[in-house]
Amino acid sequence: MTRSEKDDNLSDQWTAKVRTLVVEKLPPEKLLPDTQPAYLTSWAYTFGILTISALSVVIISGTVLALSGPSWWHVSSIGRFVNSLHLWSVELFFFFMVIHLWTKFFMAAWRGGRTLTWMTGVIAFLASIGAAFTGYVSQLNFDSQWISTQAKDGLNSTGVGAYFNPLNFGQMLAFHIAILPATVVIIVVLHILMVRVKGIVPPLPKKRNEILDVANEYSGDKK
Amino acid sequence: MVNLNGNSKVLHYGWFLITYSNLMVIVLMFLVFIIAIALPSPTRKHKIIEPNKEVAKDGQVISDTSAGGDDL
Amino acid sequence: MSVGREKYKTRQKRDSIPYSGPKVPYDLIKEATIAFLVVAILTTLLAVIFSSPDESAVTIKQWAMSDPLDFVTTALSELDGTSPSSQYGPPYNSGTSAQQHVGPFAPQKWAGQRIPVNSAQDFVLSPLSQVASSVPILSQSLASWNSATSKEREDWTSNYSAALAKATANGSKLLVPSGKYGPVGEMMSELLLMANSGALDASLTGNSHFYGTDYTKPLLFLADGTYLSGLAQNKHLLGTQWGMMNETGNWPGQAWLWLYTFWYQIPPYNTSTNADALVMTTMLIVSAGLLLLPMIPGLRRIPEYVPVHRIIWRDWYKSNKTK
Repeated sequence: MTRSEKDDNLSDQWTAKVRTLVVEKLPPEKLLPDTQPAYLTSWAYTFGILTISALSVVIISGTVLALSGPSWWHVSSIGRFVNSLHLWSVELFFFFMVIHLWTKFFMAAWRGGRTLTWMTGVIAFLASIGAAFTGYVSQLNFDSQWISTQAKDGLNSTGVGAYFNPLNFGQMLAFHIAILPATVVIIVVLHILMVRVKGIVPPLPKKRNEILDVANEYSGDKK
Repeated sequence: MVNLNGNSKVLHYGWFLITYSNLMVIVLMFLVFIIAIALPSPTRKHKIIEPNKEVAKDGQVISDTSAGGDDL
Repeated sequence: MSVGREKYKTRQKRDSIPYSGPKVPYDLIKEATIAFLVVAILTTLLAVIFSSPDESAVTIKQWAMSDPLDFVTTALSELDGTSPSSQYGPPYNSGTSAQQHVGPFAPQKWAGQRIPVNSAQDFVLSPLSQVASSVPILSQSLASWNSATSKEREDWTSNYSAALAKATANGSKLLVPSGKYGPVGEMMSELLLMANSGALDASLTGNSHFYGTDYTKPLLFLADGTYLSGLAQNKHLLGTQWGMMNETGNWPGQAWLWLYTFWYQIPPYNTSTNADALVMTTMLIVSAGLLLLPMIPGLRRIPEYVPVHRIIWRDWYKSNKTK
């Protein structure tokens, strides 16, 4: 093969291959669909987007707090208000996330190859608990003193405390404003992309023993 | 506007203890969950698009193939 | 293959078929925008109405001023090696009192002493030696402590400890009856003076560095006393009060930790010396269960038995029947 022939064969490119794969898995009309299956007829479906909305407010308010450093909100009334926004958006975030988890549990939303979607959701929940915890211990107030001195025993008992020290403010702040938010956001993005790839889960059969009634309704053959 | 400082008020029975504020959050969570699944959703009034037909806003069939549809 | 398992497999297959049935128009971006606005407005309302808690941090100075007896008792226990932190074990030192294990698994021990803390040295002797150069009598006391035998030290500290039982606090001052304490009486009163002036806070946080970001030592010292936990108890923050879920004042706390803190209230956890290790192990198993739920036979089929899905999808079931 001459040099120019090699260049001509663009489909061999890594870039081209990745693009082909991505477009195949997630074409634009799947990524941003304008229709949904007709069984989407419940408010239960809104808790995912409410959770993401609350996460956005958490990140925006947290970013404003970060702009002036960790001690600002203790001495400024504007800072205190932004801290209040941060606290309440976190409360709403967990509020909506837990309801989202309940609705997806009762829908058995892991069915039909959606196991990883469920698992990324659970990891996002656990990582969020860590993010909230590091926030509590980075507050530079009585809360952080008490929570960190209590939590050290649990963490130490697992050996984790030797590497993740809740009494070390600098380390906790780094985890809270960089490492854990990045982790949560990345996992949440993966979670959403998986939902878009697989689509929302079909309804469970109304009666437990019905199996194929609904399947006949929309078997893949119709395509 | 509402001052939440001061001694926390708790519900305490034997080994069970919960602050009223946490209790309220948890009760609200159950309530919102129940309301969310019980309340009729606005999407049930949306126009149903039958398979193999792409429908424009005015209800006209503009395409007869579902090949480009979102395979949800 | 059992009938149930076969049915499950068939169901899995039909659930993974790309959907090509009837659809409804659905504007995701519009929904997301409305959801964001609703949550942003709700957050703002909650923040305006309820604000947020900010209970000031306790200083060593505040501790020593409001409870000099507890402060000196704690300092003495650091010096004679009977405080919780001095006997703690990994990751701080070679003690064993807080070292936990679950059966043969002792990860706390395996992780080793990565954050070395020498309570007597770090909380008492080294802060005192920092001011000793300007207080001649203190430098003599420290010299005599350092050259004493362990028997002498033990006698002094146990005599002083007995005397503390009869000591009376007068404001931020402590009146201890005289006795055979060697240099310990002088050392303790100097440490209390240091604490009352705020110098001990600076000494413990700053240590020898200009910048400080690590509060391990002052926090361990503070937590060794009963002053901090006394404050926490009033606020229902103790572990035995489901404290992990709670917040200061009347704000909601980390309600999502209900299960974690629940275990601490019941046997065998609440009576075990390995409570933390046991609770952590339990939570690890529970979290793994939640994570792997789709793969756990039986558990993954619970939703089929609970008719909540019939409410969620009631319109779909109804419309399918009429067809």
